[in-house]
Amino acid sequence: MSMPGNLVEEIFAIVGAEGIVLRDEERMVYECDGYTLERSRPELVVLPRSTREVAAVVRLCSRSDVRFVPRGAGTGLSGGCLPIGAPVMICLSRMNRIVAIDVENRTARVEAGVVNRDVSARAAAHGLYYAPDPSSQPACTIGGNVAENSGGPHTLKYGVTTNHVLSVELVRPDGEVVELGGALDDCPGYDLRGVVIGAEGTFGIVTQATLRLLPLPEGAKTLLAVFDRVDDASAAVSGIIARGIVPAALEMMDGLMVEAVEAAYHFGFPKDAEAVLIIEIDGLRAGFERQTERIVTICREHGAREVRIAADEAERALLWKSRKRAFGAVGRLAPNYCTQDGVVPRTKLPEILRVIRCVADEHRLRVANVFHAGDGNIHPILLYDERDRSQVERVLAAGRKILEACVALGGSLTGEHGIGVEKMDLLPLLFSEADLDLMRRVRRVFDPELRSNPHKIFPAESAGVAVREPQRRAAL
Amino acid sequence: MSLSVPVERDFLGLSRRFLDLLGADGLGSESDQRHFAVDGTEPSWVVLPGGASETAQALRVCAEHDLAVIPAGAGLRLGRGLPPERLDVVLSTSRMDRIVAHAAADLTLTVEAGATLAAVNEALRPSGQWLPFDPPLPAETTIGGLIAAQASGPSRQAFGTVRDWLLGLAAVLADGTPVKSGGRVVKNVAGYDIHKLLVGSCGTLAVIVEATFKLQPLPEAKRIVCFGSQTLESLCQLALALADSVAAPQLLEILAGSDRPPTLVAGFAGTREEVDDAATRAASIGRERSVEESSGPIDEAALRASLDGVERGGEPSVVLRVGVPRSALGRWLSSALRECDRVAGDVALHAHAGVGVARLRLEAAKRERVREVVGGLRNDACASGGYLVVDSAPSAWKSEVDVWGPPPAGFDLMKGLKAAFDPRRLLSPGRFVGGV
Repeated sequence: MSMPGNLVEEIFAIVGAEGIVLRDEERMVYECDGYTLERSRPELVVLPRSTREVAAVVRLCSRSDVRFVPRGAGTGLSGGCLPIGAPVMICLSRMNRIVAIDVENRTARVEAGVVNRDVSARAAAHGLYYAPDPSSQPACTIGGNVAENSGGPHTLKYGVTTNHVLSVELVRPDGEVVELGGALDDCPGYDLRGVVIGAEGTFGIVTQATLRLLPLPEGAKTLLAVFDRVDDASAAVSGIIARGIVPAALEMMDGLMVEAVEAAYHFGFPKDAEAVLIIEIDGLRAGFERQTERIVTICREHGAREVRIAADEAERALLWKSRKRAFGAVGRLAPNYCTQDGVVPRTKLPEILRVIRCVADEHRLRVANVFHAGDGNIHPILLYDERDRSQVERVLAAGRKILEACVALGGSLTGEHGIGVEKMDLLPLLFSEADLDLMRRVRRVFDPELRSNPHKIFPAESAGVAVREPQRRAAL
Repeated sequence: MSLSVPVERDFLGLSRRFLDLLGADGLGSESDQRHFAVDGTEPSWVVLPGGASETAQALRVCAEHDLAVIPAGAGLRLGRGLPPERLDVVLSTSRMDRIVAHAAADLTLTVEAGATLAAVNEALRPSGQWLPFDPPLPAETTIGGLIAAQASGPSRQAFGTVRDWLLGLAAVLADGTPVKSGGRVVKNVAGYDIHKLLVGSCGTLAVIVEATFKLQPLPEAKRIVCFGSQTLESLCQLALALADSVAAPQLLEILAGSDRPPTLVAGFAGTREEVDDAATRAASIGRERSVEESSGPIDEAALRASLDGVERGGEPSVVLRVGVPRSALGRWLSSALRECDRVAGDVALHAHAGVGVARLRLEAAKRERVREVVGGLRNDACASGGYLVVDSAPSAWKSEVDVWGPPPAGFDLMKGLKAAFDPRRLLSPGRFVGGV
């Protein structure tokens, strides 16, 4: 696909030299996100600074019949911002202003390119924070979070992005700007904001959002429980939830992951543990002592060999750094990795972890696990070396098997990473043709000509795209 | 007999068709037709399918014969919205009241749309869990109605609304096509969140037949602290201070009216230690602001009774629902009470003060003045970014009193969605925002 001759000049006139990336080697940065199995280089990357500029660029694209793909920081894990049949990439990273913090109403108005962690950092001065905390929060943007309906470790108690976004400003695929949602969750009319969140950029480009902020809790207590058996750790997760405790976070790492994390961050994890749980409670300190005792008891009943309580804020911070930067430590295990994102009912964790072990053995792959156990949201990390084509094929096949097993156990293909290009062909495992047809019709209400982030989510829309391993859907 | 009018012949033929499909229990009586009258219009048929597939079959028959259908549960909130453009059938899900799956260890519940919230929470109680919604009249609030009306209550302070707990839905489109969205696990971003569109859609997009929710553990302890003051505004400010404190109240409800001085009910839930600590802190936050704990405290039962009283509309009362940014609520309520006192014999008010939502019930209102007052109050609410909806009013007044207010931003998208779900406008036609 190519662009009409004068489109680049017209876009240049809107965003200036700083706002445009044309040189081949510079565009290479934009050829994939965190899902690196597939790559496709955009013909033109545009870096607008305002909603007005985004709208103007989108209008030009619409007039010239050119499709576009929105991008935030590119930390996505399902290829959601891979340009396929969309030569223009509109990257929101320069729109990174926190427009306003309304302390009285506990909201923040931010541009789409604002980095997730910066919101909480700014709100902290007012005793407030933004709850959704994806592991990539030092880099990922609010616009990307909105597109994927991102989660994070603390969504167990506090919910995901959609529970914390009151309204969004959307540049529609024809360039019109509209504000969807309002000051409250039940403004009259259909919940347009609710369906834009998680639409993976297929309804247009979100340029601003109003976020709900929460008061910082009085305190938090973080525990580390060490297990000799993965099954025991999984059973402890169910045990905690079943006794009516909803911790702020409930995370698991398996032995291989612990080994890598320990080598990278030196927290003091036992290197011979089969699994560890990181359990956090927060709220009023008055409740901590007995709640902590109850959790320790449940872990011990399920065979924990040791339960440690973070002594101070520094230890707690290091523990969370180890967890949230676990992906960074994976580089020590293999040159490449692919993270899966299935969900199972939390009581099925032992079963799905057994499936993962079997699939890994069958496909002769090493798999590390670090995941949101309390939500049943698994993140098996399949290790490979991309120079070995057979390994790449085995990774793709194993990933598919694991996700199929999640669905068979009553779960889902994705808890927080999105369908993107990665899981398009699997969507029919969850939805009937009628379900998908309704979704497609809803999409056409927002984007009648399928201009915004085309060839994503839906299986049929991948038809015009080459299937080649490993870059099986690289643009034609 | 051979000369019966065509409509009559249709009536008998279709009645037989519904009877064949749904059995004797599936076709409502004349008294059902009266009960499910919408804005004074009785439906020609009340159908009560026994399950999702019967719902689909019944809707296919309706579509075949171009019958306009209004979905209902128990019928409690059927008065919400504009009078229907046309009405042939009320489809009530009230016979579909089974709990499909309660995965206690997963804290999830799948339930049919016709089960009432009260019955569901009663069934969940032995396992120490609940669906954390407390709208008025839970024994008459079905799960489908809860979703379609996005009904909420005081605990919205802590738990948000139904959209925050809904994991997935099964529904049937107007042409009889069954569809589903979401799933049964607590985190899921596969496909669009179509179910979000059905929340608050007032039966205009599809008939909800089954829903899956996250659940919340029942708290070990609960405690209520009440505050009294002469002014609504000072109570609203106290409510915000409590909402922002580490005490994390579950509810912050202000009760007021023509004949009652305003009271703030602050409710706390959690472990015994948390609740004791929170209540102590709340009292001290009150003292800092020179607001005293009130002498005649309101307990949970009294709070519920008062809430139910405000909700149960009926002629000739008018119930207004308003939402404004929470910092604007105090000022809005004060002027609203003054204004409403001028046009009604009696005014009662409930406000979720930490959220910015209130319900006002106007008794013995003067029709001609209500329109004027609603217009003014709505302008104030909208100016601060909020809304005002007339939740209940005598049917004859609806042509004068603007029920929904001005169409919201993105209204063309809403019309497009209605056409995508229900191109022939068979479901609750004309009742929703902007006459959708």
